[in-house]
Amino acid sequence: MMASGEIRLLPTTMRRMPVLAQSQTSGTAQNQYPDAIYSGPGPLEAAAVAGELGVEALISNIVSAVVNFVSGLEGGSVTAYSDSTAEGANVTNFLTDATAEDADAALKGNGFTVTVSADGNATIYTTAEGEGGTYVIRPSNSAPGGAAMDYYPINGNEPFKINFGGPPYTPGQ
Amino acid sequence: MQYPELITDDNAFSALRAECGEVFDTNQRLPHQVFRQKFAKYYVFEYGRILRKDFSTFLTNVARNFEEGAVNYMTLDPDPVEYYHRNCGFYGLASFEPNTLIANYIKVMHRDGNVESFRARGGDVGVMWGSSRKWGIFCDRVSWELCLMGSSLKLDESLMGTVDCMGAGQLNNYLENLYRNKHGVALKFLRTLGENYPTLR
Repeated sequence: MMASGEIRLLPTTMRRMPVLAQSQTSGTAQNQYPDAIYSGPGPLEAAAVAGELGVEALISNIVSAVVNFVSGLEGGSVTAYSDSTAEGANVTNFLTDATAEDADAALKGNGFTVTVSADGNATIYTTAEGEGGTYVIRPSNSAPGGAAMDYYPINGNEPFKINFGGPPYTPGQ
Repeated sequence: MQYPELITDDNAFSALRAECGEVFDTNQRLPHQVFRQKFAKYYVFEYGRILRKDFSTFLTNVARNFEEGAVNYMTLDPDPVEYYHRNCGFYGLASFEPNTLIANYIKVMHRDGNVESFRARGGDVGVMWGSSRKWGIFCDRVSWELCLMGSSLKLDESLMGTVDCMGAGQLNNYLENLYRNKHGVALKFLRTLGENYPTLR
């Protein structure tokens, strides 16, 4: 189980991450996919080696790390996420049993700056240099499946969405 | 203003909103009839498409097809006046010249990550249309994460392929994924959508 504030970096391939097992008690993504996850520096340290990794890899690592945080926060029943993208759909969707509050804490803990819209219905998270892209969390009354978080990379391509508070999706069910 | 596409002038807004009202019944929401006129063709695609960089290329090609003078986007929810004009100093409406769409579309929609951008807070429900009024796109993020495009012409498959229009089966699957715990909601939506837009079946 990860400690709060710790960050783990995933490989650069964010899209179509493996669907996790459905057990809610069998541990984190780290336990289930030990080969896919390894420890690494946080975003600020990672930024220092951006020149070595390349900007795209850096962004991908930060994105993956935040998703991993959301799925593996310590002290709760948050244990899993899965790719719930509908067949034929292009915007990748993930479903996690984490909550929007978990994600909020994870992003703040990783140095993201928070801005709230005038009516409070959108909260946006950015990094000072913008290298982490932008996350937008909307409450449950603003998304079909409940509270959700959109991620937008800085180049305008390949957004994805994380749907909170549901049981991990099983394709075909 | 940094983004001249965003409308601040009262008269310009009134004129464009009236134009919008010729294409859409802005009081309606999907799956009901949101268009004022019966279009020859309807296309459905994911809402997320409109926030991708390559959507500007799609809009540019549509604009060329219809020889548009302008391509417009207006947010219906939150309200373009009550929310945007009151809080942000511009109306929730952007008007693009077709020849600058590719360069400016994402910039205007994202506004450098501003929380009040159409991408972030705005655009729970929004509409796009061309000044010809021969097509329109109803964009619903808040309820269905879908875009429904009506067009007076059948558009080239290679053009529509760039937004990966959904067939009936894909649409069914897409909504059942979104409403995974509420199959009845998805089924009711699909049934009503099919009644109002029979060619989508």
